[in-house]
Amino acid sequence: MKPLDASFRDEWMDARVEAYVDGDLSGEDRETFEEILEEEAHWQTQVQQAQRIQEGLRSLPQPSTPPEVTQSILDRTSRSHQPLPWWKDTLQQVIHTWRALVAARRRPAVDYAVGLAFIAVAVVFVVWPLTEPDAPRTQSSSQLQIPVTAPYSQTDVDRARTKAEWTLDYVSRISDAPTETTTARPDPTDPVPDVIPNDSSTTVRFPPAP
Amino acid sequence: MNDFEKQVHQYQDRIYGFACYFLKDQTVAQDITQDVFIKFWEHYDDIDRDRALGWLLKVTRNACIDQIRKRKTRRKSVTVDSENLNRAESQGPSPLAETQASDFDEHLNAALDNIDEPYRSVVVLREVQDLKYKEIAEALDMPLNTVKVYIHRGRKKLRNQLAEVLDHEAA
Repeated sequence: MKPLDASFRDEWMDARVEAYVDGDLSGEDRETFEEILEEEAHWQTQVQQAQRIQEGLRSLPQPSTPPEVTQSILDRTSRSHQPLPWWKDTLQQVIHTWRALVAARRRPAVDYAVGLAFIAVAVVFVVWPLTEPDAPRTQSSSQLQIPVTAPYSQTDVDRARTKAEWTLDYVSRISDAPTETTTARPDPTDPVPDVIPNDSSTTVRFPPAP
Repeated sequence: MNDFEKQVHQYQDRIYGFACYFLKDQTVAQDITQDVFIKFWEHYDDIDRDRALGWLLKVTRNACIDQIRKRKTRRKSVTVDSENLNRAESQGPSPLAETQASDFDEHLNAALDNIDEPYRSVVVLREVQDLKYKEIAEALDMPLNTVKVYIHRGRKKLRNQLAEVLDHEAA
């Protein structure tokens, strides 16, 4: 864009002197500006004056805060002298982290990451325990290794565990009405089987119902 | 040194300097600096650390504008000569007057006083205090491009005011 008449050109140039000094003019504007600048001494003077003003502003003194003002601020804020209790400090860190997360959620990538994290938490803590409630318990109990100390041997411990499992299973079976018809119901008067499991694959077999 | 104390030391000169340039009154600038940091402490947990400087400058500018309003109201009600009032309010010498400023610096300061808001704020924050465009935009609640335009316009106003002085200096 090249200014047409003289009055408009002066206005156009005057509005762009500081932008030219800062190097903020776009390519076409800069070319036009420099073209006129070469021709007219008036604008050369204006550019020099704009540069002089900028230098003057940048060399103005920077006032320093008097030390008594700093001390007064720190005296009036107990935070500088009293360290926070650990629970308050932790709470504040949690709040700051939460706020940082909320602020970061403005970015879509973070949004997706937070969403995936929530889904993962839901799967681990909600869905997984509901789908197989007994399996992990059985497995973990069979893998349980109780340290043996005198006067009990490992055999005694295994036998006791088997009895306990049998009892628990029996109690769960009699309390589970729908499955009563489909599974053999152990007679409470029957003796507890004296099976000693040697590994996790060992299962307890109930005596047939009378 | 805790986090809050670090931030006080980090930003206090900018806040105090900005208030000094805004008000031209060292004593009031000191009071405002204290009040601003007390407010900062009171809202410390609510302020994003990355935007602390923007928050501080915004509060400082509002406090300075309030102070100028109060001055104007007082002037109207008491009808005192404005020059005398300025002298009465300023108990100490101006921080700018403390240094042996050149003639041009004095003219520049006077011209800076004469340009209106928000041009003065953006020019002081950018050219005197060397803040980034982004920080100024946050402090003054302005888009980044508006900040650039205001800086150019503010300096153009200074150039128009100082044309005679600069011509004389060149001669």
